[in-house]
Amino acid sequence: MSSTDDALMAAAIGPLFDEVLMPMAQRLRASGVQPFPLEPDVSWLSYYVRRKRAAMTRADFTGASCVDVADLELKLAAHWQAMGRHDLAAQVASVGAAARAAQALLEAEAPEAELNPYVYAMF
Amino acid sequence: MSNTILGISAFYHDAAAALVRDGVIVAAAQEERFTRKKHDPRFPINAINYCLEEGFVDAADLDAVIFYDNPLATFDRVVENALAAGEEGREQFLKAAGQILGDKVWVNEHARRAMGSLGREGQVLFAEHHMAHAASAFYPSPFERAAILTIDGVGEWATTSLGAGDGKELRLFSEINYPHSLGLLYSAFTYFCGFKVNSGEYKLMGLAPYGEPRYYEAIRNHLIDVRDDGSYRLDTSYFGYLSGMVMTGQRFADLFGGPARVPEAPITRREMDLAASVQKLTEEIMLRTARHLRSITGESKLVMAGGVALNCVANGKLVAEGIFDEVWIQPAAGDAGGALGAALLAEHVYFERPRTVAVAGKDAQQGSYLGPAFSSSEVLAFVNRHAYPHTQMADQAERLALVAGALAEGKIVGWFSGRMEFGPRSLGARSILGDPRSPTAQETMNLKIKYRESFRPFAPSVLRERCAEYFELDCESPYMLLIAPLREERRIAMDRVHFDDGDDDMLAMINQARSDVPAITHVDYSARVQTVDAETNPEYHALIRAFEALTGCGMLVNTSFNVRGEPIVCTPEDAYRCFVRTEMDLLVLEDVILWRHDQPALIEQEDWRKTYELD
Repeated sequence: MSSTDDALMAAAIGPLFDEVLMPMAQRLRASGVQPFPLEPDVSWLSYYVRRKRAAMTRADFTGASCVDVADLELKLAAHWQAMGRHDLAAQVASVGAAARAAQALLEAEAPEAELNPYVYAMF
Repeated sequence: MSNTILGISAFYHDAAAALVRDGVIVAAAQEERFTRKKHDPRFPINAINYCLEEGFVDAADLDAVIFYDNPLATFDRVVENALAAGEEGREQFLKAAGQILGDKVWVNEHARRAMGSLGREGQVLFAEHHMAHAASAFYPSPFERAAILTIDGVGEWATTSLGAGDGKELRLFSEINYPHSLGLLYSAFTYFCGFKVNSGEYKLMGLAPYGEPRYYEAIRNHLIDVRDDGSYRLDTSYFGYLSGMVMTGQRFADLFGGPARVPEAPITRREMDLAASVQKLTEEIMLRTARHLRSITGESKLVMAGGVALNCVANGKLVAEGIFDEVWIQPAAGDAGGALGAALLAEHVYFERPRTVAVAGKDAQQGSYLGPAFSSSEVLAFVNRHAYPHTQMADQAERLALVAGALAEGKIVGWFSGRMEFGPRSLGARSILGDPRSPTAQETMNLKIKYRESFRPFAPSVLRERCAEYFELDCESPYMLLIAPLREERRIAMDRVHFDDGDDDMLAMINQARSDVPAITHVDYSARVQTVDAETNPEYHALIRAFEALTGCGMLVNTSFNVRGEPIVCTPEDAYRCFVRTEMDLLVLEDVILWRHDQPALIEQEDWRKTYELD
């Protein structure tokens, strides 16, 4: 994306980050809650985490299938509710707004074939 | 009733499509082979079209279309990562969330635009990333039941998963989650040593034999804590990927005595030793994990997938340790294989259809020859259309004798035969071949074909029945996923004095004769072996037999059919273009022979050396 496009995307996604996630991050920090561990803890005998379910159910195969933003909001809310993240589930409308704006920006653009060669593509 | 399923992977690296019918793999291919963009991550329209054509199926008649990853779960990780990283992670979040919310979550729309239909389910199904990897490893394996290990950079959250399969049942019971990742750790060192991430890991692995694991303790003491069961956790303060767009942070550089190596700068002893150190750690983790997995599952067989399963040095050590009686690794162990795994997962888990394990211990991967083939008629139409001088040699014995003779004379041969390979390795369908006995073959192939100077040797394709004469390997290795030591009696002592005294010139080392098959022998006397059997690839096997008849040597040098930086060739046109851009002597397109000295001068509009980035 060009720097102009970057600015437009920042405008589309920025409110989600600035107005929803950062206040949430501050609240979590104030409560001493970390989203995930950031360093070793030698008191742990094992770092393996037991999965909640060992196999995919039929419903799992369709839970991420989104046809429009309303569908995205519903399914994302369900996903977060199932994980116990009710605070995030309550914010799906903000995610939906960001999705609408981002979709409109990217619809006009051909996707890039080039990967950044210096960082693992993880999102 | 027949069941046809299309699996798709896309958006991260190595987009691909795979078609499975009644549990049998009909077709699979990476998008990069069609678009000629290495590791092309875009929605694989071309690979999908190929799969549908190969399967004689319309999209509307597909029983399911399935994607290999859950974008909502990935978005959850991106959100949690932003909560952890705080303001520092703003730029990364804007980019990541923009891409997911604006593009990657709308897989249904991508599929509809590509195919006009979402098949009979009316919507795309979604696998879990590590479930797709696990399925790609277990279902095509020759095992009725097995332990399962998947290790990669990251899926949605999981980076390492442990499980077991039995018949059509597949379970993953424990995992390690982001940001703690062996794949990301290895990629961090890949970046730090000046190689590209996702393609340079092989180079880091190939660099390791030059070094000593001097930094192993520093890595264990500062970067990662490894438990007895192979589980691990990183100290993320050393890494940059949580909040930024680089893999490592300032603390990482301080720990290893300075900044990351600039790409293409001379490789120093530090990089060699870093490579040796992280390789030693990776092997240790994999061995501990394997022992733990054996003890908790009681299974005697192991299957593996995920990008880290492409570390064939670690794989070789794992097999040699004998922790499991047998090991099978998905040849397309990275994200491309996720397309295949997702399709198989849909077949056996979503549709609950039974699984049939092939008899006589054979796997169902079909040699991984799952891509497009081109008939003799199509090849002739191509060469005639362009009036390229050629000879058709329909008689196999005559043709193979000619090719073997050329190889025995030290000629370099472009070999294009049958269905294209699925996965990162060339396995004798799209390969450049040479004589492994030649002391100059490696240098020649590097300079005249790959246009590189490389510290890495080439890899051998050896007749299965003669493998034990060359290598300390007592199992098959049809997919070039295992490193094995060359037998001692074939080794030649090297002069390491200058190198051990601190001269960093690796080429002086690699250019020494190290064995009676120097072109494929690494400086530690190891080789990345492909065993070739007559049943899986009869033409290739027959060629090596013809070479053996002339020379007594039952192997060939096999390197991928491409110039540096481009994907492996797919079509006769790709092959011809590569042929005339390099100094190969002979091109074999099915039963059509083309000699380099007969070909017209290549006139190109572009400087192809600038088209393809160095990798």
